[in-house]
Amino acid sequence: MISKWTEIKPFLSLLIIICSLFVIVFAKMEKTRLSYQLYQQNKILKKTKEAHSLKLIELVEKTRLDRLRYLALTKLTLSEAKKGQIIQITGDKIVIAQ
Amino acid sequence: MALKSRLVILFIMISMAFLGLMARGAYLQLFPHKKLKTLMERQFQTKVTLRSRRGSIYDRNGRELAVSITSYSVYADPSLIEDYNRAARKLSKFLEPSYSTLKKKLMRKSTRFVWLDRQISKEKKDLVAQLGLPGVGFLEEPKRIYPNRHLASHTLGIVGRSGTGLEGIEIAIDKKLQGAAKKFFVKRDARGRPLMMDLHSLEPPKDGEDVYLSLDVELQYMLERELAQALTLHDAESATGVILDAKTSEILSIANIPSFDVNNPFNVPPQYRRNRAIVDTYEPGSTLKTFAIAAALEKGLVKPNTKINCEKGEFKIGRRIIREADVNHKFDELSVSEILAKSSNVGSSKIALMVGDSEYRDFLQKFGFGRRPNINFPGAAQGILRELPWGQHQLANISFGHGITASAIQIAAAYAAIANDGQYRDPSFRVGGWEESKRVISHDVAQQMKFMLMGVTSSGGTGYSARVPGFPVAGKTGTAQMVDLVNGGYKKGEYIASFAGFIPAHDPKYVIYVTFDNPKNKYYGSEVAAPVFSKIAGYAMRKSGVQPILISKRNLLDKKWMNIEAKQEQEPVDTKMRNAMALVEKNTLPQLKGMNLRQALKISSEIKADVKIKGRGRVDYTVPGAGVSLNDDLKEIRIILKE
Repeated sequence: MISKWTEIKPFLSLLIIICSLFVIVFAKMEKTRLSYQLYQQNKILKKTKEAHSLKLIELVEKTRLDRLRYLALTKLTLSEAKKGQIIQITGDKIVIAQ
Repeated sequence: MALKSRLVILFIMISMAFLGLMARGAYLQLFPHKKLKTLMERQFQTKVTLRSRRGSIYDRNGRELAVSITSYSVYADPSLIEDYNRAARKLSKFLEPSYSTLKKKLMRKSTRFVWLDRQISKEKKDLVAQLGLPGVGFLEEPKRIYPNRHLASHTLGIVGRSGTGLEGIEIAIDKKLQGAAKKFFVKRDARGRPLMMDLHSLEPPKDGEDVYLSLDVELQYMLERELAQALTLHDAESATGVILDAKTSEILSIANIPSFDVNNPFNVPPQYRRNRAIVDTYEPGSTLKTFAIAAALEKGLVKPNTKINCEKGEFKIGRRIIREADVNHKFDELSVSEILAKSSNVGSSKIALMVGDSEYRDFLQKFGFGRRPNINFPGAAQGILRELPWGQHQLANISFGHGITASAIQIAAAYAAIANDGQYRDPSFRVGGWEESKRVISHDVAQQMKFMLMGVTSSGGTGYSARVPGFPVAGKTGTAQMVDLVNGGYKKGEYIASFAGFIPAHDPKYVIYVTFDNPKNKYYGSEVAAPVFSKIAGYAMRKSGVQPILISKRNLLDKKWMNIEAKQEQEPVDTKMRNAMALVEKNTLPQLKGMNLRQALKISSEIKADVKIKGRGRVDYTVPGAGVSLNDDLKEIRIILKE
């Protein structure tokens, strides 16, 4: 039994060495693959952020105050506040007649 | 020689050669040559720059004022372009430069790099990329977008193509906005793509900080709109406006008209891009009278009702004569309040002469004149406040705002000190980051000044058109002659019309200052600037939801003042009662007019005749009238009250 074990030992050592090398190569390949994946994900994140910024700018431009005022005056038939016209927006008390 | 010996020698020689090679290899590995190291790095490594995103700028309510996006710049290597005519024709469909410009650029075969267009959008970039032209490439570049275009353009400033602030707030807080770009070397694959293998490459670069300014976009829009309308109406050269928070001196709005689109700043000459409200100074005119009077009140030299002889509009100092701005104004005697309300040059000159040059100069300095305000903005002006001694004529001139210069922001900040009960703060763009206030006048003098400035906007005052129905307004008009920078002296018929004030006067929320350069059809501050103030202040009140109040002494005086007034009024009323009682004892009906019901009843209880009371409020008149003998024939007295 002992002699048989002694005979297998060199092969086992060789097997361990070969396996280790395979594991190292596999790990390196996996690292490279993951790095590419990360690279791609970063690109997608950047694109998404960029698209968000563009949408945000579009929203701000569409809700520009001069634009809103124009729409209110032309499409919604609202009018400009006149001098002396009291518009009470907040508060709970009754506005005093002027 | 034997074969064996020869083989040994050959073996030794080959071994030595290998040893030499190994030694050289070891040397190169352990002590690498600089040049060789560079070559090696170039072969296996690539330099990656991760640009930091420039921070956005928001207003105090979080509305975007400036945002950064990625844009693309198109370049070409002319040596790789085969048919430059065809390439230029195709590119000119999507890029801004014309066909001929692009053709000229592509014809330069001696150079390997030319910019074809800068900072184009992603959509355009994709269209150009689809052309598949060899030798045409793209580089990512940051682009600053100002979605509100003209709004607050002078304050925001501009950013260069490299993403660095060049003017305004963009340069003032450039480091904060820029962040830190990250540069590092990474190994690359056979196709030159970076291999993200180092842990440090996973960390994103430190982006620039987002900044919240004290500006309020809605107030800013309103201010710019009203200034632009008035500029057209009065055909003025330019207009400037400032709105400060009365308590904190935070800058809520700052506008200069004409304005420009910050997205295309180089389309206008540089002088149009200056934030004149901060960097330009001018003679403020009558708005400065407020401070001459405040100085005299603070020193106890005058009281609001002290009478000053205004010399019928002409006051001689040495060989020079001080005149009123309006030649028709020939005031005789005016109280200090009236001097402010009617804007008398002679009156303010006499008051300044009482204060004296040294004390008046110190006083003005406390209010921020003649020194650079502690505001984080490039090129903030300090104005001119001359060194002592001042001649009497000079002192008189300075009292009504000539011979001294200040910026719009300095004047607004000085008025904010009065509005803030005598405490001065430097104006600031930071939200909540204001500095400790400094007391420059006593609380009582500030209260007196508030009421005197309210007099300016009441009937008969120069600032009558600055009133806002429902809200008490305190302020002062200003009309100054424009300085002739070429020939010296003043320009004939050219004025600066201004109005400085705060609203609501009893509990100020906003300090507003507006000024117009060289308005043509009208030029008085009362006619040009005061109505604009009224519109802006009215909008600010509606926007902030401050409730309108009934303008009366009870609503406007603070409690401390009410008590002082009540005590002052107490004595005459008691005397009146004593005199009335004495008359009743002599059987004569006293004068009851102005007495309240309680006082009238107390007196009538001593009268034998029947007393009938009609109405509410105070005694208006009696039937029969005062002075009638209270004999037995008098059966009835009617006391008529009126609210």
